[in-house]
Amino acid sequence: MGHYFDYAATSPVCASIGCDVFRTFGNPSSSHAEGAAARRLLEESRRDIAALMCSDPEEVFFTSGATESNCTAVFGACAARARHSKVIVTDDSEHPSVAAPVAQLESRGYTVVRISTRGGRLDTDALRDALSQPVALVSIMAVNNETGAVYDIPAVRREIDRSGCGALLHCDAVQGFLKYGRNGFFTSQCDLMSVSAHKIGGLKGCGALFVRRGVRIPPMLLGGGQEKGFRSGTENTVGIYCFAEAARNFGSSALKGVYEKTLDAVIRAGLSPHIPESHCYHIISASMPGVRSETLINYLSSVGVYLSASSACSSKKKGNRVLEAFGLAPDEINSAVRISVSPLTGDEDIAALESALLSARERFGK
Amino acid sequence: MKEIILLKYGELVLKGLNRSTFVALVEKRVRNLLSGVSGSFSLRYAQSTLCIRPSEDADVDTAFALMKRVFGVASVCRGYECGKDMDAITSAVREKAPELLGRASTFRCNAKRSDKKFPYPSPEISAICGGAVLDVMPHLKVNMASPDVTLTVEVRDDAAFIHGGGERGAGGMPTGSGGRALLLLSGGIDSPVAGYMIAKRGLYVDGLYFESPPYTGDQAREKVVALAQKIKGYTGKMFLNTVSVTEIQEEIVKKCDERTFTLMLRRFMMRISDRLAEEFGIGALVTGESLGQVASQTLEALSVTDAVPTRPVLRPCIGMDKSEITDIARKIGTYDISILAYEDCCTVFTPKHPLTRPTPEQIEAEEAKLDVEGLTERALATREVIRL
Repeated sequence: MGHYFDYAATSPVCASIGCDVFRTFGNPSSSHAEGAAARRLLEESRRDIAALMCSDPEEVFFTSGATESNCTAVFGACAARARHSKVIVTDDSEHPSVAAPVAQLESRGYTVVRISTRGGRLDTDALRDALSQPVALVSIMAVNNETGAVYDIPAVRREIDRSGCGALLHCDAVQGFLKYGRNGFFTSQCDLMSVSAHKIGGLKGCGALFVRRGVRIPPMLLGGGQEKGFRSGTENTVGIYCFAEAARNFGSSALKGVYEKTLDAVIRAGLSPHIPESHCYHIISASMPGVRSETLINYLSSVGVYLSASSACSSKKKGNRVLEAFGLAPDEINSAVRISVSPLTGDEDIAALESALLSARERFGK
Repeated sequence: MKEIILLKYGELVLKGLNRSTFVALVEKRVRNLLSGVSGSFSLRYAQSTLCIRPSEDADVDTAFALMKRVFGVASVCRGYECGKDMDAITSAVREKAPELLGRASTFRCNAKRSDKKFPYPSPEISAICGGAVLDVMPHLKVNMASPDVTLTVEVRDDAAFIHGGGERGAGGMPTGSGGRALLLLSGGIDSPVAGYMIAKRGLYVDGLYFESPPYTGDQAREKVVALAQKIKGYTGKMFLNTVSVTEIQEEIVKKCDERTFTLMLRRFMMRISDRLAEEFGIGALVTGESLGQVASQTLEALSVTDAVPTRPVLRPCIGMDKSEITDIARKIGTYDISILAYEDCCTVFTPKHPLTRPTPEQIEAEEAKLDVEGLTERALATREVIRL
C-alpha cells in the first residue's frame, strides 16, 4: 500500500460500509416488501444527507455524480430563466463539467461573463458590474479543485440580492461539501448545489443536486419519473446508501492539522506552494522549480507516493486554464502538482511524502 | 446453395515456382484469424482464389471483416456457391439477386468460365443470368459500361460461385514471407504507420519502445502497447521490447552540446536496436522518419544516425507528407491512440535549437565524451519483453 495524496480525485470507500447493503436489492418503485425496504433505505439516506446539508430531504435529488448535477443545474437553470435573460455569469476556473455546458450555451447565443479568480480570489467588483443587467444563472464553485481556493459564495449571494438581476445561483460544492465551513454553509447561500459521493468515501457513480424549494428547473433525464420526476432512472440505492454512510462518518475536524503538517513538509522539501488568499484544508498546489509535473508524479509513483498534476504537463497539451487564471507563470504551471489530503492521511504518509520529494529534488531539481 | 467468402490473391499470383509457399502463408494467416471466430470454416485453394466455406452456425460477418486484414489478398468477396448446372445457377441468381444487388439501379452480369467443359460459353451465361435478375428485379437497368453493381458468376472446376463484386483486401505480401523487422515504436503518429507498411510487405514486425522513467510514465507505455496491438492485428504475432534510456539521456544532458541531444539519442537508439536485431536474427530496422519533418530527419541528420547500424533501416514514410501518414494512421486505427498527449522520451530534454545540418565529426566528438559501450550495455540490460 502506497502513500495516497490524491483525495481530491477520489477517496477509498468508507470503512464502515459492508456487504450487507447488497442484500437490499429491491426496486424502490416496487410495491412489494423488497421494494419497500429499498425505498426505506433510499429515504433514510436522503434524510441524512439533507440533514448534513442543513436542507430539507425534498430539496435533495440523487444523480449519477457531480458531472450530471452540474450539467443539470446549468442547462436547467438557463432553460428555466430563458425568458428572463440569456446572460450567464461564472468564473474563469470552473471544473469542466460546468465550463463545458456554459461554453455550449455560449455557442448557442448566450452571453457569458467569466469573473477573474486571480490569486484564488473572486473579483467581486467585476461580479457587481456583471450583475448590473438581468442574468439567468450565476455559477461559482465553492472550492477550486486544483488550487484549493475558496470562493466567497456569501459575497456572491449578497451581490445577486443587491443587484436584483434575478439570477439563480448554482454552486459546484464537490470539493467543499463536508470539507469546508460548517454544515450547510454553502447550501444556505445557493439555489442549486452539486455534490459527489466518491470524494468523501462513497462510491463512484453517485452524487446529488440540491434544489432550493420553490426553484423549478426542467429535468434532463425523462422516463419513469423517479426523484419526483426530476431525475428518471431506477435509483442507485447501493450508491446512495454508501453516500449517506460515508457522509455520516466523515469527520473534517482533523483536516486542518493534517493540512498544516503536509504544507510544512512540502515547504521543507523545497517546493513552492501556491496558496490562495482564502483556502480549504485539503488541497495544496505546489511547484518544484525546473521539474516537470509528469516527471515528478512518475517518480513519486515509482516510490509509492501518489499525487496528481494540476497542470497539463505535456507540451503537447494546451496550457492549464485554471492555473493560468490563478496567475501562475508558465514555468510554475508546467511544474505544478496537486497534493490533496483527508482525515485518513497519517504522519507516516506525510513523512514518506517529504522524503520522496527531497530525493526527487536531489535527483531532478536544478 | 451455401454462403462462401472468396479471397482473390494480389501480386503473389505473379510469383513463379515459389508461389505455393506464399499461398501457404496466406492460408496459415487465414486459419489463424478464423480460429477466433465462432463456427468452423473449411478452406480450398484453386485457381488463384481461396474459397472459405463456413459451417451453418459460423459468424460470417466477423470472418468477412477479418479477411480484409489478411496481407497478400487483393479483394474479398462474399457470395454463394451452387451446383454446376444452368438451372441451379439461374435459380441461385433469382434467389440472391435482391441481396447481392441491393439498392443498385443499374447492373451487368459478368460470367467467367474457367471450366471450359461447361456447355455454355461465358457470354451466354451472362445473358441468361442477366435475364434471371430482370425476372425478379424488373426495375433494374442493364448498363454494360459503368454499372452500380456487377453480378459475377464464376463457373469453376468443382462448383459455381455468384457474388456482387468484392471489397478491397489488405493488399501487400503474405505475412512471414519477408522475414522479420524491428520497429522503433514511439507513441507518435508515424512509427505505427511505418510498422503497418512494412508488415504489409510480408514481414513480421517486432517492436522496440524506448522509455525514460520517470520522465515518461506508465500511461505512455500503455499507449505504445495499444499501438503495437493494432499492428499485431495485421500480423498475428508480435513481441514488444522496452528499453530504458534514462541513464543515456541524463548523461547526454550532463556532458554534451545541447544542440546535439536528439541526434545523440537517435544514434544510441540505432545502436541498441541493431544489437537487439543481431541477437534475435532480425533482418532490418524500421522507423517512421519522414524527410525534413523535424531537425533529426534532415538528410544530414539521417546520414549521421544511419552510420551506426549495420543492417538496413527501412523508412516507409520517408517521402510522405504528414497528411498522407495521418490518413493511413486513421485507416489502421492508430491515430486516436497516437494523439493522446503523454510525454515520450523524445520530447523530454528537447533542445531549443537542434542541429539540422550536423557533420559526422561533430557528433563523433560529442560521443567521445560518453562511455558509449557501457551506456549501451546497461540500457540493454533494462530490456523487458511483452508478448502481445
